[in-house]
Amino acid sequence: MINKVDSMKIENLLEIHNGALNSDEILQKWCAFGAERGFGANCFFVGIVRDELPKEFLENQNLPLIESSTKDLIKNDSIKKDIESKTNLIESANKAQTSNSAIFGGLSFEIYEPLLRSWFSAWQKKAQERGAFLAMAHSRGLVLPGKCSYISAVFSPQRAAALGLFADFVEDFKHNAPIWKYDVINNEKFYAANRSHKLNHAGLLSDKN
Amino acid sequence: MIKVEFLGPLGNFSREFSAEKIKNLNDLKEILKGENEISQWLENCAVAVNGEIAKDIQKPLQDGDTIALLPPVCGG
Repeated sequence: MINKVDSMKIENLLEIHNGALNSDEILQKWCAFGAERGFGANCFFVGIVRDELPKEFLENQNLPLIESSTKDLIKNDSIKKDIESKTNLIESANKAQTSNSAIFGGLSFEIYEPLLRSWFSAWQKKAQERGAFLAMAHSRGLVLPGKCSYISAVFSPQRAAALGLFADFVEDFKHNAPIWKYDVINNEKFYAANRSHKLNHAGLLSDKN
Repeated sequence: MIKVEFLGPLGNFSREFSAEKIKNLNDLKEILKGENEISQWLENCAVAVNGEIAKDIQKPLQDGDTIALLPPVCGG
């Protein structure tokens, strides 16, 4: 079974699309992929952009919406200080505030493709060692609320292997896939610093090394 | 030349350095730590050399290499 899959172009199991994913089309294609190759236990994870302002924009209802979010974003750690100086978040947020409303316009994504491909290949190898296979699709650019930005899949002959890999793969994706997320609010992009994770070996070029 | 890419919230731009000037990652660090806007990100950034995460500050660099500075990530 694995030999049949090996003969396919493995790199095609990582898809990057501009804008929202056509989840119906991708899921249909991947269901067929699993069925045709005799995989009996397949898991699919579908990420949809929620139609709501990010949590950090809503935590303190007693303060003006954008101002409170700005404070929350920048007050705690070095990442947030970086955001303050690099992207002039306060200035942008205040501009949004003067419009007297904060309209969530979705999420925007940037991807560093060479590293994403090597990260995915490493996971594909791990999956094959367990007799399974992986696929993943992700959006680049703007994805509107309610639309799909991320799908991952595990194909396996056995349920236990599929479920074990599924959780590990999706979790590692969140922490190590080189993708940057921005909230789009009032047509401006805000780096999602609070939800972002340092990659392994971050700080290599800092004075701590 | 060695290409250095500043990705994601760093601004998505690249610069080129002479391979004579940066023989290893430590040489790059010495240059970037003197640049105010970039230096404040260094503690949070990982570094990739030709698409692989670097672990060694003394990693030798060669003409034609591509280095990427990678701020904290969040996909999905």
